[in-house]
Amino acid sequence: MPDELSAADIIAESAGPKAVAETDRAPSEEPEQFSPRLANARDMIITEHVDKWFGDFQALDDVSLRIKEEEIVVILGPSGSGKSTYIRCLNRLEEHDAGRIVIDDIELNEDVRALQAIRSEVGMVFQQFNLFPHLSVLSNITLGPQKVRHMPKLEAEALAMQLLERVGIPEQADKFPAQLSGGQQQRVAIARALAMQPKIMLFDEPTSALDPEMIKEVLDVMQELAESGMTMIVVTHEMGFAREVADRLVFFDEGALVEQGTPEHFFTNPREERTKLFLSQIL
Amino acid sequence: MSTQAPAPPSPAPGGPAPAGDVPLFYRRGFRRLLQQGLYVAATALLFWYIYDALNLREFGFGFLNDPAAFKVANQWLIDVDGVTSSRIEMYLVGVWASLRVVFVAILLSTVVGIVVGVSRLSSNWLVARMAMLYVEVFRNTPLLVQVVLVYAIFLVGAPIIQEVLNIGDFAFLSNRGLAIPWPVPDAGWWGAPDWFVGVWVALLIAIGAVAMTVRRQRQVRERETGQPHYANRWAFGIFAVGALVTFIVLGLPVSIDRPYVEGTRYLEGMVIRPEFAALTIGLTLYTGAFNAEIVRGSIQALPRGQTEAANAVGLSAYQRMTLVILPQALRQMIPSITNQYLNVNKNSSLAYAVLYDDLFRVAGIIQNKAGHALEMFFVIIVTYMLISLVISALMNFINARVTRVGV
Amino acid sequence: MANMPAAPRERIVLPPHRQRARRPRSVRAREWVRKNLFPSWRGTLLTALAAGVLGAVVVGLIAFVFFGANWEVITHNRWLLFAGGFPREEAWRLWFSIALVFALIGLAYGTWSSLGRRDHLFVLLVGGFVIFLMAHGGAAVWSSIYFLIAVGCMYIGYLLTYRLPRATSSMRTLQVRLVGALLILALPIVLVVLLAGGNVGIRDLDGFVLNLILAPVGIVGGILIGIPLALGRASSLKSIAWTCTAYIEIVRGAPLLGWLFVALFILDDIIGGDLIIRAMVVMAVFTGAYMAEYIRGALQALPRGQYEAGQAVGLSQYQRMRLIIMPQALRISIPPMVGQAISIWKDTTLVTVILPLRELKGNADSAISQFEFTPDRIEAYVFVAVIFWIVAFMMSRVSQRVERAQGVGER
Repeated sequence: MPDELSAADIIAESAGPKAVAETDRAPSEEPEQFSPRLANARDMIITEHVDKWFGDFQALDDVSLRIKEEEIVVILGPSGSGKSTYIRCLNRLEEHDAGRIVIDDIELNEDVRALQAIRSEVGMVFQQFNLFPHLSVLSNITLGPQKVRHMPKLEAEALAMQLLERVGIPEQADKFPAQLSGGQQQRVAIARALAMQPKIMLFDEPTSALDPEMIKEVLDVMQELAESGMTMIVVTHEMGFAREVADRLVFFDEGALVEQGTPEHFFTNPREERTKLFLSQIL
Repeated sequence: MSTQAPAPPSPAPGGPAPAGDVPLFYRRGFRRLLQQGLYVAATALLFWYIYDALNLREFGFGFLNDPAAFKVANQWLIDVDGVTSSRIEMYLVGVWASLRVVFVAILLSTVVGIVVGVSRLSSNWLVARMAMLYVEVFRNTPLLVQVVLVYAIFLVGAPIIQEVLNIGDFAFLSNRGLAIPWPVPDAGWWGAPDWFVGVWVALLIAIGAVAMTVRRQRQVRERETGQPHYANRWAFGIFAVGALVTFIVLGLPVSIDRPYVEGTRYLEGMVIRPEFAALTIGLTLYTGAFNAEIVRGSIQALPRGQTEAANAVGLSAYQRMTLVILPQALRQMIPSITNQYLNVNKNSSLAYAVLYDDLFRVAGIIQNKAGHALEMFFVIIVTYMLISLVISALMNFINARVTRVGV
Repeated sequence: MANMPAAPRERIVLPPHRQRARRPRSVRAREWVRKNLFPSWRGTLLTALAAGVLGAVVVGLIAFVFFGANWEVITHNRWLLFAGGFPREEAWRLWFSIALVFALIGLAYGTWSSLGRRDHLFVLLVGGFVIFLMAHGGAAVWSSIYFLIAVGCMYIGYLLTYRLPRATSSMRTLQVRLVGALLILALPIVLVVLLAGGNVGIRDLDGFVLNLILAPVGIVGGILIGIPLALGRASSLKSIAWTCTAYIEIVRGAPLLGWLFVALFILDDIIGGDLIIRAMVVMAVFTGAYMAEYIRGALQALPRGQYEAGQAVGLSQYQRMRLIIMPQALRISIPPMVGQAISIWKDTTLVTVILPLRELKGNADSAISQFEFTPDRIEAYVFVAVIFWIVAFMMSRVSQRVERAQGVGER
């Protein structure tokens, strides 16, 4: 397991996880299985009995899930299963209709301050990149820090260059998004999200719109990010990534959380019929 | 008119049960309420200011029932004298005049648009260039100037009535207008009274209905059996025979009325007055240029494969255009063309510039005599909107037909 | 707009086996003529027919322009048509403004586009037309010289900028911002130049000058009104969306003439002010409804992801609109907005119809109401049409250029 090796680095690098006492919360049907390295980590994301409706269609049905700090969670499921909706609820691109969502001790509710706070805590990477086509790569990245965090321009640009180095394309800084390949665009999108120095990163099918030869360059960046200790929730169909990087896999179907467990558990011995069927189709 | 489109995404109101400890001021629902409240208050204040400024003590539409005391030229099929009739009646005469212009201009501008639009794509270099020249000239000059220019050409170019141009005793042209023969109701063989035309028309409609029913049945049978049943020929035959029989039995319900000049006036026939002609020609030329661009655009938007497929089937250029290209392009161009028709409706108000008594000018005259500018403006805008609604509804109907048939 | 990456132009060179042997020019010309004019007996007939029509029109036009027409109605009334009641001793204000605007056009072309042979030809033709007009029947030597200076200013502006590198750099950004700011400030500056000092009142704006002022006021005011209207119509707050929709639909429901009727009879009680100011307000309010619809179309054309990405980065709603949505939406809506600008340009003639204001067409009416020129209506209106055509044609060319540049640009 590569995790154990890097865990020491992570703890040295980031602020040490504060042990937060487990508060009383609704018992889930099964014990959540955490990777041993996260045994003492605090809860970063808590969702309890979350429902989401689109008109008459129930997109999320009583979803409860706790995610630890520095945990890498991969969400699987057929299309329309609610996995995207779930992570979009986490940064309030969608608003849940019932239940609780608490992110880094911030409750997502009617409070407008919570909304602003959560947006700078949580970074998001979209399937379609959603770079701003009228801004250069550099400006795409500096926009958030400058306008939201009020970072001076030079500092923001230095940060942006540093992040571009990290995702491996510093030479593209002055180009426009349309001049980049899909993989490069997605890496810029990751850099843009990181520029806000978020505690959590959400990935909504980050490789689905990419040509096969570009998928690896994006996955490599994501893996590097995972190893650096970021809390990540990834919706993806990349089973290789799920097996290698994830601490936990979560399977959604028809808006409900069907099964969760370690990659080992999933790939060797899934419990639910629906999970088996899905995995047999995708593998 | 335009369809309400989905608003940019924004979180829906409501959300999870509000936590009790969130201060009111920071709750989103409250924020939205506050914003709306402020906005509504500001709008209300604005309206109150306008209301106050307008001083509406004498607001009311009663003045429209008073006698008009002015004349309106360009009456057709109606005869209203300005002495006894009320202002609202005169206004309706104006509406009728507007409708005539709009109808004719829409029809002609469509023809011009199709001809010029197709010509722009002609493989014949000269024809394509001339069509382009037409579009560039008429699209980029003010409609008002086009209308007054046509009017000026008519007034300066056409002879005065004393030297009227006699076109074979059939039509007459002078700067009073063009007089042409026109059908008027007649009594037929039997010397029947006025409603005779009605009977005739009713009979024709009935025969037409029979013909269409037969056509439908034959079409169905043709589809079922695969044998040719000549639906169109049958329908046409039935109609022609029916009409002929009606004629033999009843006679013609109309006779053609030839115009003639007496002194300085046209009598009988139909007179197309220079004001009407200038306005209609101006609207036609101007709108035709825009329609041409729409037609061209929607033809060019078709996939190339359509032309190639038509060629492969062996259709001639004319058949290709009328059978394959235009029917498909029609679907694409209906929304834009509708917009142009609505513009024709609104632009018909330019009648004011050539003193054609359309609804806008009659309204102006009434306002001039009676005041009540605000009320007259309400009347004007409601009329234009109603006409626009009718045009939109008709075009929607056509659009539904076109898309349903699924060429 | 800003920061458009310059696309390198590549000449396509066909491999040798696909290059057709170059035949003599005369052969190719003959082939072209046969293919495009005389492909078959039907095509030939069509060509003959078209040539006949074209010939008749051209002959008629030549006969009218050079032999039939009496252009004295124009040359005798030059000042009336151009500026009408504008005090002649203040003419320098007009020429200064024209030179300023011309210089700006040059700067803008040098910054974002380039002048081709056709453009130079167009300038030459229009310039020749204007000079000819002024030289004909009593020379207006100084006016000619001023006009030439204005054209010179345009070329100076162009030469100053067109050689500057267009690749993204801080210098380029500065240049773009500077020229952009000048373009935005042009209208206020011109208004100040024309009206400051008290010798000239707003009521002195007359003739063609009035058209030249009314149209930009309508366009700029229309955009300023249209942006909040478009955003309002798309708002999730129902009261805002409804009122904005009502505004747009009601304004678009009635013809501009109807709204000018309001300016004349009703607006006096509400905002007062000079009739010209009321006419300007109506032009802006009217244009605003149309601009709003174009901007709304662009807002809808933007992918949802742009809104979401802005949210995800943590921008506030106002920041999202200002930094992400509007820059893109405005760029998309430039071509239809230029179309609307052309439309408003032509519609400036309408103030003559029911308002006692005299723009170019109105002053043409005045010219032909002079006893000796009553038979010359056609000449007067043809002249007016040509003047309006020139400006509208230029605007449509600019629009085409912007569209092409967008095709090259992003997305």
